[in-house]
Amino acid sequence: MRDQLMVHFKYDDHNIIDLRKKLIDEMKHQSLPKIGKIPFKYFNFDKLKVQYIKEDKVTELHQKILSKIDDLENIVVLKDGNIIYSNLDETFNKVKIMSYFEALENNDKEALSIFTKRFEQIDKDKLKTMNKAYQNSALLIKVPKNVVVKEALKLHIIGEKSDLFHHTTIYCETSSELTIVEKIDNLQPIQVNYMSDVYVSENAKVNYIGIDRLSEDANAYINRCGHVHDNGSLIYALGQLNDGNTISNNVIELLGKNAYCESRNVLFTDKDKVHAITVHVKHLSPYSKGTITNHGIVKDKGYLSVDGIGKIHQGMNHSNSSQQTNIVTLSPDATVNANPYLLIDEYDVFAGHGAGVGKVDEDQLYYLMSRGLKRTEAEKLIILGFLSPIIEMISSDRIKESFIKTIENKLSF
Amino acid sequence: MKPVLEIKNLHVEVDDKEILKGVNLTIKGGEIHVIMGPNGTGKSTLSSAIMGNPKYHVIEGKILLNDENVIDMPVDERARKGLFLAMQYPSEVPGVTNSDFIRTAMQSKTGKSIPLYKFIMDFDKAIEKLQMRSDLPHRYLNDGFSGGEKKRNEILQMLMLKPTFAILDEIDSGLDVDALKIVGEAIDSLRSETFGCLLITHYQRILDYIKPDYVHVMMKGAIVKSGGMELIEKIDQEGYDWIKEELGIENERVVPEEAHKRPAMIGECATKKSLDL
Repeated sequence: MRDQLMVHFKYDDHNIIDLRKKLIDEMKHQSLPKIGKIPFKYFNFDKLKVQYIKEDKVTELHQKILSKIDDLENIVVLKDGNIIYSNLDETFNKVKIMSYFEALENNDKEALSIFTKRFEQIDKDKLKTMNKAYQNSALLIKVPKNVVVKEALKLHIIGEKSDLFHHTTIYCETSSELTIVEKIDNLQPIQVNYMSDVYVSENAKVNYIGIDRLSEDANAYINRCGHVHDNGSLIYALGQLNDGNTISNNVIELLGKNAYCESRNVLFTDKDKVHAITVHVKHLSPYSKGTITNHGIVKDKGYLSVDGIGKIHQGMNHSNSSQQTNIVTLSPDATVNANPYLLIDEYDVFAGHGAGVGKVDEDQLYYLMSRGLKRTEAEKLIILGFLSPIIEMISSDRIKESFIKTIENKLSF
Repeated sequence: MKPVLEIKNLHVEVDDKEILKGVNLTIKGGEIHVIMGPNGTGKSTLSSAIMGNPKYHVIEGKILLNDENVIDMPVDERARKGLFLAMQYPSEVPGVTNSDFIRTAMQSKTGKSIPLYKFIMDFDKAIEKLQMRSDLPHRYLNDGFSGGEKKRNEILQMLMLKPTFAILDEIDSGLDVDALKIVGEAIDSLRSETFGCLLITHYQRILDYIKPDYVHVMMKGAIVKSGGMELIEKIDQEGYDWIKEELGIENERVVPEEAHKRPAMIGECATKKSLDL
């Protein structure tokens, strides 16, 4: 098997190949994570086709990729693990953005040590282990101490020729600031196993907007993880608009005093697809504050499962954990499963939780229609309004417009 | 030709209870009608039934807008034909801005796209006329509005949409004296041969600014008395008892006053208080 791996991951060092082998062995006796009552049979995690593909940078993007990009300003395009295009202004001069392949080529010690370290840690979760074992695309973003990046960094991550096993590492050092708008896309029917880790150091501020736009024939496992230290702030906004089956796991660890996170998510499930979303905020420090807001729409025969988990560990006094999930169903055949969990092992805390599932409010519809709006127009306005607290967070107007358009298309009755 | 709204022998049911028991009323362009009456006599039911609220079922009778029966039309179609209802309790719609909403409504009505610049000009003018906050276009529809603001917003929508017939359901409740004047004058400014108005009210105060041509009194789900301004003055001084006496009505209500029920709301824990134990 080792030889096989060496053929497959031909650019890797021998020690990485050994680590990969170890992970694959580990994976064999690991089981899939338990996520609600999600039927994993739809996901086909066993049939993989993973390849290592190198591609050169281009000065102009191919039309098939351009058509999926809304805003070319300050963008980095990563395709099958290669940075094929980047267009960044001087605001990003101090920010290190490097793919795994680039790190190998330039023998960048710092980046390589970060990339390698990941292979060494063993997870309990089969899907995470799989992501490491077959990783064929990885990216490092590092914002040095005290660097405040005013412009939003757009990341466009694409899988085409191979199943995508991607990992992004984002380090924001002390008192730095960064906004990222990340979009995940595919050009061919592939499997996607996507992971990211954001490290928010002391006093750092990160806004992370993830837009998932995978096609109907791409099954996805997406795991985004945030780690927030003292006085750090992480605002996570997720636009989960995949057309295919998706498991989306979002974990935020509040590790320092006054660590703050907001997780605001738009979820859209349609056709006969299964979407399982977990948003888990772990309060691992006193005086930490976390808020979860989920707004979801389910259409057709869609199945949406949303688990919000606010966990305050023992001794983490004065922590504040709140969450609210609201789902609108647009069809009698849609299935929704919303669980707002609060797990509290400490007395001196603030907490609140709630979840609601329902149809579009008939009184609101009647009110709008009484001014001449057709039912579909009124429904569209109300739903976009319902999603607006999250849509408003997208800092690029063009991406915002395209996001709205995607939702409008999905809503077309 | 003057527009005409005719209500003929209208019987309306809500939750299997007959509320309107044969209302007859004709409003022509240029006319302002007022309906008065004690609580629970069917005034709001009449306005909702004319507009086409799906909870109100017409079991008999006709509503003719320029000779066309609108009873089988859904509410949005009636609105596009020129009917407008300023609601007693307008809904709050968070996330939808006033300007998006009004512009969409205007475009639905005319079927034409309205240039943004012209729209903003007109909207700002109307906002000024009603002395509302200048950030109104960007605020969410009625979201967090005070009672008075909501009422003004109804009139604002009316000014923008220019309906043929407007029904104003207790537009004066919750307005202070100054607001009453502003709203009253705004309504009066629409007076023309191509606009008719039905005003439902408890108080004659707003009538200082809008002089009605006809006054009707509703009791027991029907119009029991019609007249002019003199009727208002008498009601203002003597109340409704003389009408009840004259017509031999003991209880003017359509349905008896129900015991006050407080439903337990979602989001409220099942406490003794909320369950009324």
